[in-house]
Parts: sequence; C-alpha cells; structure tokens
Amino acid sequence: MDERELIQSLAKDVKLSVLDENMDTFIEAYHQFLKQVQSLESIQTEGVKPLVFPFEVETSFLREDSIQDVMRREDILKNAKHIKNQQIQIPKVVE
Amino acid sequence: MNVYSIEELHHGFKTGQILPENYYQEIWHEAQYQQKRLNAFALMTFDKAQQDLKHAQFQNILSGIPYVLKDNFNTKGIYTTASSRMLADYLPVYNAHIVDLLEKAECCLIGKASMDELGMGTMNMTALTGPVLNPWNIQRVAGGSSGGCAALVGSGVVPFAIGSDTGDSIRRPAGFCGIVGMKPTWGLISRYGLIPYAASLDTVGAMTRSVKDMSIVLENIAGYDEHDMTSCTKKVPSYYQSLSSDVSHLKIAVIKNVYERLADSRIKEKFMNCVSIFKTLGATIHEVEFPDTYLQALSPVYQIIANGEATSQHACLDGIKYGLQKQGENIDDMIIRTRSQGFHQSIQQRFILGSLALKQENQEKMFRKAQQVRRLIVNLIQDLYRHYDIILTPNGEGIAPFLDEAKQVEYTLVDDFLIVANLAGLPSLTLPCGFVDHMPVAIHIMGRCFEEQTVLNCAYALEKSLSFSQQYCQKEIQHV
Repeated sequence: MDERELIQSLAKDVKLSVLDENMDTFIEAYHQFLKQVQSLESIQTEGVKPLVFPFEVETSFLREDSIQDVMRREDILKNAKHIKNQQIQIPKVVE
Repeated sequence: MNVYSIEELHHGFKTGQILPENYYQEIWHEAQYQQKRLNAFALMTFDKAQQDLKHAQFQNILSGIPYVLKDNFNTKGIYTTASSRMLADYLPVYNAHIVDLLEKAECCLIGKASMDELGMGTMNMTALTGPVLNPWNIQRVAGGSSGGCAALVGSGVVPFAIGSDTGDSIRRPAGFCGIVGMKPTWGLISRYGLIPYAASLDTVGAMTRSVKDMSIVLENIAGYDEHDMTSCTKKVPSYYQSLSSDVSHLKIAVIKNVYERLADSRIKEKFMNCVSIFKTLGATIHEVEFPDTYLQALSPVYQIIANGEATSQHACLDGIKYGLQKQGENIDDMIIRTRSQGFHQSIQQRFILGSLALKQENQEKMFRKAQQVRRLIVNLIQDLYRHYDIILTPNGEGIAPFLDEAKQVEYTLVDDFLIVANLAGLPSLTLPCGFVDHMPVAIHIMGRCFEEQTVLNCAYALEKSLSFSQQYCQKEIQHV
C-alpha cells in the first residue's frame, strides 16, 4: 500500500475522505508524525506500565447501577435533522 | 467603561455604589465595541445576562458578576459550536455542570467565546468565526485555544472567563493577553458537559485579571460532581480566605535548561526578575535540570496521546443525532461526507494520525509507547516535587505573534514545558510579569496535585511585588 492509499485507508477508518488536492498536506503531516514516533524509540520503556490518566486515579468511582437523569425523548430528538415516528431516521441500511 | 475586580463589583452592587442595570448597559456597549475590534465572541448573550441579573441578590461574592464561557461548554438552549462547522447549529438540551454552578452563584452570562475548533490549536486560527485579535495590539493574535476568553478578560469586558486546557489552551492565550490563567489539578473541576478534546488531558480552568479573583472563581467552580467519573471527592478549601503572600517557607525549583533556552534575552530578564523577587521574599530557590531526552519527548508524547484520544472521542460527531448533515447514498457515505465537510482540514489530520496510532498493529509501538514515556516523564516530575513545592519556568518562548505569522510559529522546548501540567495533571498558573515590544509576557508557576493554594499563594506574592494586577487594554495605545 503506498502512502496515498494508506492515508485514504486511515481516513476511511475514521469516516473521512481526503480530497486529492489536500493529499500532499496530509502526507507531510504523516511524515512529521512518524518522526515524532521515532523520537521516542530511543527511550527505554521495557517493563514500564502505560500511564493512562495523569495519576493513578483516586478520584474514579462507580455509582450504583440505577436509572438517573433520564432525558426526554423530545429533547433527544431536538437536534436531529430527520425524524419519523418519534425516532431518528437514517438512510436505509438493509436492502 | 469602568473596569472592576470581582471584589470591587461585589462591594459596589451590595452597597448600591454600582447600579447593576447601568453597569450592564456599559458592558453591552463595550462588548459590541470590542467585538468589532477583537472578534472574540462566538455568540453574545446579552438577553440571557439580563435574565440572569434579575435573579441576582448580590449576597454571595459572584452574584451579578458577568462572565463568558468558552464555546465548548454546553448551555441549554444557547448555541454551542466548539467552533466547528459540525456543530454550527447545535442547541444543547442540558447545561454543563459548571454552567449550573455559575447560575446557582447568580453569575450573568455575557456570551460564548471564540476558540480553536474543538480546542485543537494554539493561536485561535481555526475558529469557525475567524481569528481572535489581541487586545494589546490588534495586529497580533490572542492565542488559543481559549483565545476569545483571554481577549475578553484582557480587554476589560468581563472580570472572568471559563476555559479549557488540554496542552496549554488557557495558559498560552492568558500569557499573550496579559492576564492570569489557571489550569487546576485534573479532576478538581467537573468536565460534565464540556465538549472534549482528549479525556486524559482535558481540564476546566479560568482566566481573571488578578490572583485574588482567580481564587474566588476557583473555589466556586471546584468540587465533586457525580456526573463526571473523574471528578475528585476531596473537599474544596477556601482559596480566597486562605490566600497568603508568605512564601518564605517554600522551596522553588527553577528549570535551568528550560529558561536558558529562551531566545529573547528581554524575556529571560523578566523571568529572572521574578526569580529574584522570590529570593527577596524568602523562598528557597534552586536551579535544577529536567533531562533533555524527556524535554524533547514532551511534544511527541502529547501529540500521539491527544490525537489518539481525540479520534476516539469525536467518533460520535456523525451528523445523525445533531449537527451538520450531508446527504449520502447510504449511511456510511452520509457520515463520511458530513465529517469530511464538517471538520477543518487540520482536525481531520489529527483524527487520521490518531487512527494510525490506535491501529491494532501500531498500538504497542505508538500509543502504548507514548503512555509509557508519559509515565517516565510524570515520575521525573514527581521526584522533583519530593524536594520542591513549586516549579517555575517561563510561560513559553515569546510574545503573541502577528496574525500573518501565527500559522508558521515553530514551537520550542520552552513552549512544550507547559504540557507537563497536562501529562501529570498538575495545577499550573500563568501570571503576567512584564512587557516586551509593548506586549505582555508571563511566568509559569506549577505545583503539586491538589495543592492549588500553594500555587495561588506563590502567584499572589509575586503579583504584589509586580505591577500588572487588574491590567487590561481597551483601545490601541500609540507607542512613541
């Protein structure tokens, strides 16, 4: 897969499509990103646990699994562009 | 327009020395003038402010105080765009937690402030409503991503603004606009209702014109919120009542290999002046080094993590439930057309690179590797905090760039050091410390997690020794 195909494939994964006239800019950004990735390679990280949040989260908690803050259907539908029978309408998925 | 601190406004409202209705008329005129000059509002909400004012009893210190919100906080029934075409017509059906808190405190919302699209930028050049200009010189930018907030506080329209900071998005524009900006500890303020950028880095914070005002705002917006699972359960202290300028017991580390890199000797001089002031005030100052390898790793680690998290967090912006929608042959086509036309090209780049880092075959060598280096960076910082209460660096390399140069600015390791506060979740404050070429420069003060009081006290002590508290610029100054 060449770089253009790779960019288009990555774009497709995140539901985007890159226009031909913008492709060079995306490829340049891709190369810069790879340089950044390479710059970390010399740092020894064997056995180091990834840090997902800034500190080991003493602030996280789980609440009881009970229904709270129920949104009204009409509120949820307020921003949708196409509504039918009180539901969001999308293009047909199954032919 | 007369410009006041929060304390002065509160006293004036309470005693009747300032008539709220007259004051809000002044604000309205000033806001319109500054909008033409700076382009800092995404939306002006004067009717809402007047409604809010009717509820103000002027008993608590924030009652009747005007403010602006960065346009990435959900406001029920008020357009919230995060400066993205994707959300140009999005009307939230609920308030962000911080909006509810400020309504309860009887604050009055003057408007939604411009920002870089989805908070992704440092110069406010990707805003849906165009660049925001700097109140001290309208040929220069305000900085980003919370540029509208910084310009509106720095031009005296409002005494405080609420922003968000993922890498430097409160502190950089605050420094450029000559005001105080604070990113508190990650988890101290609820992010419920904030349109995110990157969950492990995003922090809600504030901008004011003095440290005292910052302490007032901070204690009113901090605290536990059950809607945010990363919200902290610690009791919020009274930062305002506990504010002290005694720094004689503090040990301060100055990062030598950061400040020595400053290219502009005049900015270095301003920074060293602050260090001298702390010495005079009795603080213990030591110069320390942060390993160059890890200084150079700050930006790559940040870019990889932020892009990866952003890719994942914004998958929900598909045009189906809300926001822009373009027609397509099928649902996939519809979403692709919508997102490709809805996001700025620079945002699309971030998503694509984030997708690269998150791809199954790349995750270990890219995303996980960055998270591992993040831990090493955080360990180094925590080692420093075993010996020191505060870390001092300049607030970046230079002054606000000219509008036509803003896109070409190359960031240096001095700029990158601000990222440390996000990677490690630390409280971090930007304080004005002088002028170079008639533009504000600032110092960066960073403390241990949940030790906001120490950071505020340190800034308060320095502010009292300098002369930049409550500064603002409403019109062009002719320099000879």
